[in-house]
Parts: sequence; C-alpha cells; structure tokens
Amino acid sequence: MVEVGLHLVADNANLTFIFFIGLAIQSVLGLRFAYYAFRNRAETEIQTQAPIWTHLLYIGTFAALYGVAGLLEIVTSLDLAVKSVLMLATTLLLAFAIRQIHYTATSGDGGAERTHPFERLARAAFVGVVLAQTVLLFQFGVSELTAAVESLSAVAFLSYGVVFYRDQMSVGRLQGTMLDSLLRHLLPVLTFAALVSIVTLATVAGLDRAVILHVQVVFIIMTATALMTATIKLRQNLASL
Amino acid sequence: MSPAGSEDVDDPYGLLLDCLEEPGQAKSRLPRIVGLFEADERVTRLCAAWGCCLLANEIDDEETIEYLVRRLSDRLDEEDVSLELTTTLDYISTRYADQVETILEEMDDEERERGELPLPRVGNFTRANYYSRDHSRDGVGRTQIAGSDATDDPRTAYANREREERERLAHERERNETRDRSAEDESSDREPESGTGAPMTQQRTAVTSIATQSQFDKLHILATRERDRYADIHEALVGAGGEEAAVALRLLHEPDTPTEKTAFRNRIDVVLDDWAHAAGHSHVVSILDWGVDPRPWVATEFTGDSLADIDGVPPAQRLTDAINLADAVSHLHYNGVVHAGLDPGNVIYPDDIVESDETRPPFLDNVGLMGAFRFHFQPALMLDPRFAAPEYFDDGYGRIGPATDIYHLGAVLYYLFTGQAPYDGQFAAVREGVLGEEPPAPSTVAADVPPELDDVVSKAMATQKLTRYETVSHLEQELLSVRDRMDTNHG
Repeated sequence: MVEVGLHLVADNANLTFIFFIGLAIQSVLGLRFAYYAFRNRAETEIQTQAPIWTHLLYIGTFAALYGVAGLLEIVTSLDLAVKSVLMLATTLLLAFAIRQIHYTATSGDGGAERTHPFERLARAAFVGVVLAQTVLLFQFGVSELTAAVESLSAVAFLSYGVVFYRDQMSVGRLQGTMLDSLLRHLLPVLTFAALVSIVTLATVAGLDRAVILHVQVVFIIMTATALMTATIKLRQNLASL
Repeated sequence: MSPAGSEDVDDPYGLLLDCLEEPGQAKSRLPRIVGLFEADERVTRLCAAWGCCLLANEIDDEETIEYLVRRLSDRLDEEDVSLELTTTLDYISTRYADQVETILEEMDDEERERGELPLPRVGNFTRANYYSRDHSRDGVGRTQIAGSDATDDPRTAYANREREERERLAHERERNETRDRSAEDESSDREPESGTGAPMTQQRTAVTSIATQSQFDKLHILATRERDRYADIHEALVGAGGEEAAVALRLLHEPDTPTEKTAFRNRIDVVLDDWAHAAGHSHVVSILDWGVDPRPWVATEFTGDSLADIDGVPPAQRLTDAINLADAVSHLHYNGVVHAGLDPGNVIYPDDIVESDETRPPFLDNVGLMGAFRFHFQPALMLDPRFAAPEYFDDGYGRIGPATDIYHLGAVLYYLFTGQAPYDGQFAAVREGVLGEEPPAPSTVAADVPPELDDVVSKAMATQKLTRYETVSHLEQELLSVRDRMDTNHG
C-alpha cells in the first residue's frame, strides 16, 4: 500500500528540501525541453532532421521522468531505486543525440552510411548495459554492484558523446551554425547528467551516502539549468520554421 | 582664352566672355551657346550653362527665356541629358516660374496637336518624356528573361549569359518602344493596362501630390532613371532647410485591386518605417522621406549601378565589399529588419565617385521591401531565383527570416567573387539545384578566389537552416578571419 506523506531523503530535512526543489525543476524543464523538441519535429519537413528532434524529445522525457520519480519518492512511500536508470538513459540519449547531430551536420544523412560496425556494436552494448542495470536494480536493489555499473556506464556514455563533440568541433565549416550552437548547449547537459550517475561510484569507495546525495543534488540542479538554456536553441529554431 | 567678341565658334570661353562683357550682343550667339551642351567635355557644358544663365539673367526678355526653355526642354528628350543642362533649366524655371509654366503649357498644347501623348508638367520644368515609355514589365523582374524559350512563366531564371541577355533585352525594349510609340499615335489616351507600373498620368499626379506632402521644400523631377522590380525611379532634386540634394524618387509598384492596394500600403508603410530606422549604416541606402499617399513612394539617396549590372568588382576590393555587406546585413538584423530580397540587383554601387581611383563601396538597396511585395506579387518577379533561399521554394525549409538573408548574402558573395550565379538555368533546374545540391565551390569556378572562402560561402548557403550560420555576425567574423589570414600570408 502506497502511503502519501513526506519521506525524508537520508533522514535529512534540508537535503530533502533541496532535492524536492531540484527534482521539481528537473521535471518541469525536462518536460519543456521535450515539448519544444516535439514541436520542432512536428514543424520541420526535413526528414534528415527528424532523428535529432526524436533524440531530444526522449532526452526531455527521460529527464522529466527522473524528476517525477524522485518527487514521488519524497511524497510517497514508493522506493523507486530504478529511477537512476532514467538518468543513465538520459545520459546515453544525450550522447546519441550528439552523435546524430554530428553526422547530420557533416553528411546530412544521419551517418547511416558512415557508421562503423564496431561503433554499431558499441551502441548496442550501451543499450544492453542500461537494460541490464534495470534488471539488476529490480532484482537486487541498490548495491555496490549497481553503483559501479551505473557510474562506469555514465563514464563510458560521457566519453562516447565527447568523442563526437570533439569531431564536430574540428569541422571548421560547421562553426557558427545553429546546429553547432545546439551542440555546445547539449554538452553541459551531458556532462552534468553523467556526473549525477558518476558520483555514485563514491559509495563503492565507502563514502557516506548523505555526502554523495548532497553532491548529486547539485548535479541534478545543474542538469536542469543546462536543459533550460538548451531549450532556448530549440525555441529559436522553432521560431524560424 | 578668346577675346570678347570672338568669332571662334569652337571656343566656349570666348562665348562665355561675350556673355559676361556684352550680353546684349551675345544674345545672337544663343544657338551656339546652347549647342555647347552637346559637348563631351564637362567644362564646355559648364560654359554653356553659365552662359545661358547669364543671358537669361541679364537680358531678361520674354523672347530669350522662351528660346532657352524651348531649346533646352527639347534636349531633355535625348538619352544622355547632362546635369549642366537640367540645372540650367531648373535655374531658369525657378527664376521665371510663371513664364516657364506658360511656355511649357504652350509646348504641351503643340505636342497634343501633333498627336503626342498629353503630358502635363510635374514640379517645374518636368515634361512627360522624362517618364519612361517602357510600359512593359521588361526588366522589372530579371527572372522573366532567361533562356531563349518564350515562356509565360514569370519564374524563369536568368541564363548565365547576362551580357548577351542584357543586349537582347535592350533590343527587345527598343522594339517595344517603337511599337508603343506607334500605338500611342493611334490612341493617344491609352494608358498601360495595369500591373505593377502605374500609368504615366497617374505617376505625374502622384509626384505632384508627393511634392506637397513630403518634408521637402521643393521637389523637382530631373529625369526618369529606370523602372526596376520594385518601383519607377525618378532622378529628382529636392530642397529642405536651404540645402539641395539629388535623390532617387521611387514610385513603388502596387497591386491592381483596391483591397490588395490597401493591404499592400499597410504593409509597405511598416516596411519603409523599418528601412528608415535601419538605414543609419554606411552601407545601407538611406531614406530621406517616404509615404503611402497618393501611392507608396520613397525618396532615397541617389544610387548607381547594381552588382548585377557592373562588369565585376576588382579582385582586391571583393573581400572588403563582402565584409561591408555582411556588416550591413548584420546591422539590419540588429535593428530587427530582414531584407528578404537580397540578390546582386539589390547591391548598389554609387556612381557619384569623382576620382577614378576611388573605390566604390557597396550599398544594400530595397531593404525589407520583399517583406511587403511577396504577399502581393509573384516573389520570383522581385528576387532572382538563382539567389533565392530554399525556403522560397519550399515551405518545409521554414519561414523567411534572418537565416534567409544569410543564404542570400552567401549567394551574393558567390556572385561577387566568381561573377557567376550559384545555380543556373530555367526555374525548375534552379529549384532542383537549390533544394538538392551544393553549387560548385567558388574557388573551383574562379581561379582568383581564395579557397578559404569556400567554407564561408558553403555554410552561408546551407540548404537547412540548422547548418547555416546562426547569425550574420558569425559570417562577418569568418570573413574577417579570412582577410587576416590572407594579409598574413601576403605580408
């Protein structure tokens, strides 16, 4: 039976309040980001752009779901340990979005023809890790193993995204474009979202959970604010359609 | 210099001296003095102007004034009317306004009796033949004349043989003018059917009304310059606050129906207001005054030939011009104005440069007019499709906005550096090219184009707005970087 009522995070009222604010912001701004991505996808008739907007739509949706799940944990008796997968999925989608933008900008075909088989395998592996993490969390709950998988996966996703970001930046002919600008706004989102997951590695090292949660909430708020600035680019593009 | 009373008919100084010393006797030499206006040398024409003004002033009899007005007015029908002649006539008509008015009315009556089109004056000495007899839309939309195939599709693009096309157009225009004159002889009251150019009598009435409504103390039409895509342009002399200036008085084309006219005027009023506010840039054509009654008009600073009309820009000047144009567009965007119709025809090079070694800076013309015209006219009549952004061909590429100007600027830079349009051929081929493929890199088209420019032009002309420059400032910045690199390499 689910009880509605205040459930403190790590038995700390101050931390709970900050988490509540951070997660509420994350929910609203994630939803807003998803809305504008959806509008862009609906308005544009250029097929090669559709995958970009789809990725961004899912990023916003997963970010919002993470926020909602966190809020539910505070205001109900639900224990949604699996919510960390939502943030991990957000990170992975951000990395995929950067890859998509890079290929769309450089080749216009979404990179379908240039994808190396190894890279395809890596992407499949990333998705597999997220699914495995979900199963692990459902099966065993939060443990040192899931913390390690979560944080190391986030490091891998972040690295994957940064590789494509650097590739993009090295292509001079794309600098100063709207896509270039969007990419620059997505990198901080990717970084902070990944850090939310990466800091859980500290539990494996034996750091106090309350300290980790304090750090984590900072990165949650940073992710939300970075999403907000990225939404500006989506709105700008929508206005030109 | 010849002494007074010199019989040397070829000596303009001698004739001028005669006018100064013995104006009474010099009166008999009036035909020679007036004949000096035909001279190629400006100083000779100035002698003629000075002499005529002196005699008109000193002798001050009706016979002399009438002679001068008639002779000088007749010469206004000629193709190359000199500034000295029009200024002289302007002086006389200002000094003896009533008398000149009477003489011109008599001349009109005489012309009417001869079966010519009745043409009342506008301003002071203006005669109807100042106005172009070219009633067709030839040359209004550049896009009409492409290719050799006769087609009713107004969206036809230029072929890339512009000089031959212009010559062909000139021949056609001559034929049309001859035909028009014949038609006028048959029916002197007939006006042009309609369309974007107003009938001549309407134009004359409009100019008279504009003269009274404008902020100018005086407005004298000197000559009809040309009919372009947006307006009938008159070379005019205006005075305000004791100062005079040559301006281009543009009577903008209007839609035919009253309902559309009202909507068009509402739009053009806003657009001209925007242009006036954004004109404070050294590379944007300035507006002196404008209005929408009795029809939309705008008085701008006097302009010259367009980039499409000149024989290219010297290589050393191209990059500087490109930077200046980018800066001008950036200025427009900063002021919230979208040009929307930027093509080589709207990049003007002034023709008032006195020294031959003085570089002619480019100016953006017809700023924002497309924002009103495209709702009432076929956009392809107002914008060369070879330079038009994908969003003009397909709504799916988004709205017309600042990114559109960036594309157009890229296409203009392409033309500026290579002398060729990025796409060529009939409308369908151009459309296919714009939406489907990148044009050849400028450096592969013209040998003297720095390869660094390829990326700049390519990025500006990206089909998708997402991969186009986000702002013109970015484009300008990269042009500056190209210039810096070139300076470093050469220096």
